[in-house]
Amino acid sequence: MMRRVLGCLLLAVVAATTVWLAIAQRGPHTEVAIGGSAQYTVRIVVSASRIDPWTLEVADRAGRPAEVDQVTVEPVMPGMGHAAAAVVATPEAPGRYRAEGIRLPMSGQWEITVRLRRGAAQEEILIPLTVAR
Amino acid sequence: MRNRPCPRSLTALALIAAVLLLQATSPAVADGGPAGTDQSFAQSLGDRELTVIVRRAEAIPGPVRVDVVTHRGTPAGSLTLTLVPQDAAGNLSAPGQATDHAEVRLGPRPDLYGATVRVDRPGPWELELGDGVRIARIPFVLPAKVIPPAERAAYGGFVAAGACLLCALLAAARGRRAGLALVAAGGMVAATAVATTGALLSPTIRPPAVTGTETDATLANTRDPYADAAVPRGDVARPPVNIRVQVPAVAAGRRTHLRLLLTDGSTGRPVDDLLPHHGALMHLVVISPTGRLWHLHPIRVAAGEYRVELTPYESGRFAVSVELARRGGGVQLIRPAGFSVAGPVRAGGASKTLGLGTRSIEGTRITVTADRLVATGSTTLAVTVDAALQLWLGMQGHLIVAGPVSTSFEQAPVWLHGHAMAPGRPTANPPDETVTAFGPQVRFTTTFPYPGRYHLWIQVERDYAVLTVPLVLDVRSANGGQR
Repeated sequence: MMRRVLGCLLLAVVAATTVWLAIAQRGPHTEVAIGGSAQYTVRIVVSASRIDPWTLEVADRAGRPAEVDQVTVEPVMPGMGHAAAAVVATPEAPGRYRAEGIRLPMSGQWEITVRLRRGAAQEEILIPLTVAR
Repeated sequence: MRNRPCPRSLTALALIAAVLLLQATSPAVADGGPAGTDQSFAQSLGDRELTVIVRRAEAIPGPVRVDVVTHRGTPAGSLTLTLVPQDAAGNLSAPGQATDHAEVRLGPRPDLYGATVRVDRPGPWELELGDGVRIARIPFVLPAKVIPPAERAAYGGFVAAGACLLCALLAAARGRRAGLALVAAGGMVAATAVATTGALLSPTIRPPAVTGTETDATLANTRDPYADAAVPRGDVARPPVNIRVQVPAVAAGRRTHLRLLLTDGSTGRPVDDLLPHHGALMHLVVISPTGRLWHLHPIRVAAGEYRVELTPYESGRFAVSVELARRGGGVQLIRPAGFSVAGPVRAGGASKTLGLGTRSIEGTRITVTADRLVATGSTTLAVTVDAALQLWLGMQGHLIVAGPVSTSFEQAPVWLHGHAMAPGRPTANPPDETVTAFGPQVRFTTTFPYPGRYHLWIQVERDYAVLTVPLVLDVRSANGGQR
């Protein structure tokens, strides 16, 4: 009797682990796309459905939050030659910016240009982002 | 009790089932085993015409060999190699920051010089090649070894079927556990079904988009190109490119640089997705007013910005054309507005231009014959060189044509760039320039669409130097007239 219970328990553990691993591999509900230049690293944190708002995390070479004057997001769909309206992100916390109103109307691969302005200096970082619906 | 499978055996079966399930959903294991091919980039870096070859990686993380082929007249010196990853995940270092450096010492003789660098991830990379004055940023994608899901299901299925068969045999041989033998046999049937389905389906399943060639490469889609399977794949070709050529005020005889700015023909954004095409990211052809030709490979200095240096020996209007391929495919020939050079005409520009027949250039005898010189039908030119040839940009020979020329090269309606292919079957890794085994005859077949006067330049490589043979041909119309 005891062996049967133990066996059932073991089976249940194996089944649960399998299901959990299968779900975990589907990925979290948010996705992160990373791009960088010699000076900055930009992480775009976006919901799996690519729906607003986006969070942009800007860090310096050492990984500390970077101070920039303006962060602009310019999406382009290179395969189709479409460009979507640029959005200026609003600062939320040091190195954290929030971009609202980004519309990616077509599924496929988009190329997000994140333009960082600090004083007169400007840098562009290109980050590919795939929209699958 | 006799026919009841014991929990331990059940657990073993469940584990096999779990392995099968995970086989179907886990992302492809990226690392291990060679993947991809050698990638070759011709680069006109200052005075040096170099061929940079990124060899295929045996394993990632691991070493990658970068070879630099120099040509006759290439100054000795040292080049710096810097590897910069363009994407990251997990605890890999941030993109845009160099992960490895190396130095390549170029000797005085034309040869293959190289260095080994270490890569820690597949996906998009930039190789920075510096000579102390300028830096070429060469984009390339290190492919990962990817096993298609159907293939994985087939392998996993057969492994599981074998394990189940073993269990069933053991249970049956011991004769006490008929139930267990039955369960194991059932598992074997199920696993065989999975494996057979996978094996039968695998050739019919459309392979995923090639990352870096059809789509922008990221670390994620390089490791698992099947993840983007839900994204529609229609026409992958990208819009045409506009090119602005900027040249500082320049006088004849002075070395100058050309700045080429590439923008997208639909969005106006910088174009930064060029693919290596015939061994270079960009083929720039410049023709002087008297017909001297440069075939150069500008270096990428920033997104959408390329640079190259040359010395115009004469004044007047220089014509420019650019051949490139964007990600998504489709080669484009762009003819941007040319540039003007001020000052007096200097000697030493174009060498004497002849028609068909034999001539001697830089100590090499060249004979050119043509089967016919009539517009609209195809013409085959046979070029015989009294030297063993090397492949240049993967080809035995290059033929560049501009015409019919009445007023200027810039206004000629036809610019062609044809090739004489290397003999034998095309392979994934064609011989590099160290192989001197081609020629002596190189044949080009081309069609002159209109009658008139055409300027042709035939380019072949021998003894690590590119030989340019200029020709002028008058092509008759099909009904006998000149025009």
